[in-house]
Amino acid sequence: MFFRFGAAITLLVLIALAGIALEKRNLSRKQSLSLQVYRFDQLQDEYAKLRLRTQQLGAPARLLDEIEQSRAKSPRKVVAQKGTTSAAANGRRTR
Amino acid sequence: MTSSAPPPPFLATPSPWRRRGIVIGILLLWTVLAGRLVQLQWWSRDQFVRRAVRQRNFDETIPARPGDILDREGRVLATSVPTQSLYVDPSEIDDPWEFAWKLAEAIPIDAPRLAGRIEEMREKRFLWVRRRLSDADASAVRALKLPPASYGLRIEFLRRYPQGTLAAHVLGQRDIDGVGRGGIEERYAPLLGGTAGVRHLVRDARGYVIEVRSEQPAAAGDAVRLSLDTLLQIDAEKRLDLLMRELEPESACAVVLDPRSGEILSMASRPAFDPNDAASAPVNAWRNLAIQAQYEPGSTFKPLVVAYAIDRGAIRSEESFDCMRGAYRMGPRVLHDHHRYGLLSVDEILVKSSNIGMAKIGERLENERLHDCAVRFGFGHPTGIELPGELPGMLHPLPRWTRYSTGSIPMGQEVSATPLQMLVAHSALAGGGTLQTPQLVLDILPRGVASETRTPRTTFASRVVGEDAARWVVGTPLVGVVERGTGKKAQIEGVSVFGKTGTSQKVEANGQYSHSRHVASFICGAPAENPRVLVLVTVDEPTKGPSDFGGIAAAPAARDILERALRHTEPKRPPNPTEPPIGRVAERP
Repeated sequence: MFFRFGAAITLLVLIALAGIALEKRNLSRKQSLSLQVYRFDQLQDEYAKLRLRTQQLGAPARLLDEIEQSRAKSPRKVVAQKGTTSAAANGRRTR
Repeated sequence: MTSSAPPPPFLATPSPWRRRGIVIGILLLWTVLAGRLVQLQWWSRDQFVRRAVRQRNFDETIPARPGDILDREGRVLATSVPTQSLYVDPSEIDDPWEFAWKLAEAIPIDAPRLAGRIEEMREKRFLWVRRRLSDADASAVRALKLPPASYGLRIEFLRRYPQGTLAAHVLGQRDIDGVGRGGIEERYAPLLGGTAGVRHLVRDARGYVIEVRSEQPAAAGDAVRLSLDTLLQIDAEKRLDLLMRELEPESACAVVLDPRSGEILSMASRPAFDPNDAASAPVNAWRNLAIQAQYEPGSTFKPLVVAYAIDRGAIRSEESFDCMRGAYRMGPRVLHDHHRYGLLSVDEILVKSSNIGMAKIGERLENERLHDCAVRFGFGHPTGIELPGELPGMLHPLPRWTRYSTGSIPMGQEVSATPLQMLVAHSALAGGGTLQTPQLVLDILPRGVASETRTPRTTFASRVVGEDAARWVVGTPLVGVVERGTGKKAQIEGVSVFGKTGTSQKVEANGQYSHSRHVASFICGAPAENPRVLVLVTVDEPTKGPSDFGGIAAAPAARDILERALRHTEPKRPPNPTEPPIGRVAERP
């Protein structure tokens, strides 16, 4: 009698434990899925921000302005650098 | 002797009335409690269940990421980044002043104003404090560790235009609530906006989320690929900026179109605004002049009438007309030319832009056919471009036309059009006589992903004049205008350019034509044998510079834009196997 009762109780406990284990596993899966979705959202947001930044930095209007400005400045710079280098190489002072 | 002391009062036997009273009181109390229980569990059950569900369950809207706007090469013209917006729950804030000052330490806000607003709205549960915070500001707010129930940060998308002011009128902008205002943003709002998702959450008594029951993800908006070419747009806008500095007009506008496909390659207006900072825009900067400015086209209308007249057999291309030495009476009105011309061929009438010659062609056509000509070339109706707010221009119905109209219409008066209408009408000539709807949107990319098949679009094409008449007008008189006529400033070395100047008088408040206020315009295209680019520049009331004639004020800018556009649209040469690649020295034989 006691044996049967004990077996029934044990069976019930085992079923309950298995249910709890399954539930825990389910919850942890849900949690990891939720985390993945969150990380994916974060990455998408980061991607959008970086994409905007690259587009701003690589905007043709901005680059063209910079190229034009550097073109306007560069001839003078080159002459000055050449003069300094040659004078220094010769060890002479320049006016 | 035994003395029996009286029992203490609390051991005294209560009187039967008192006992009954207590019993009845307890019974009543239990009855009331039981009644209340029945009321809660039976009569008001649904109401309380609803309230409990509302307190426990919470639906959170997941905002959809708006779609991007791209140029024809895929460069991003408009995109969205997620930001956080700060709101408060005024009913949960005990001391608005302390709360506001604390917030002011983290983000730049007007603390007294915020405190006042919170006090005013004590009964409300929601109040925006600052929309679209920077990441640093959002972190600073979180670091304050304010009571969780008193505030919240909600994700909202911030629209950014990485190319700055470029094509601002075409793109439009978005208001504080993310609603498209003007341009593609407004016209394609349903597609760009996407569909918001929803997340069903379960909260505990303190408002913390304990479970996500289900989630319907948001669907991102579709991307729209435009026919605009960013590089060409930059060129056009820079040239307009230079024109604005040189001539100081009220406004100016430039449009570049491919007459073979009707694709708009560039569309620019000045003054302009920065869609990233719309609040700083001047009042007169909002209009997209290409579709929202109406002007009398003047002489740029003449080639259309000539092509129509030749096609309908009213005149012959080799015919000549007597231009009456510069003065011609048409009923009560005397028409004048800028110079005194005698006998002019049809070709010369256009090259020299003779008003009298055109009036005589108008007399051949008469009002009915002149009206038909204007209608067929699309005047009086919007062109159908994919932009909101396009004006139809003005073309009076035929019964309102008078004897004056016979002389006025052929020289581009009594009719008004938008710059785009004029360009589309001329593209019909450049395209061999077929008028087609201009196209600004090349493709819709579902959720921003390019697909194999392009989204089909509706275009209307109708034959306006025969191919021979159109080719003759483009190849002979319009080339002559640039080679030896009023449009000499549009010449490009090595390229056969065709074009037509236009200088129209503006109408004064009293209804009379002004002698000092003009709209200068120039339409040109190239190469004349097989046009692949058409450019229109209009300059409204130039106040400086040598002249306000179309050939002087507008032609140089149109020429520069055309030259660049021809370079951009040059057909790519097939690689020559005998030619060494750049950067590699050819081997010696």
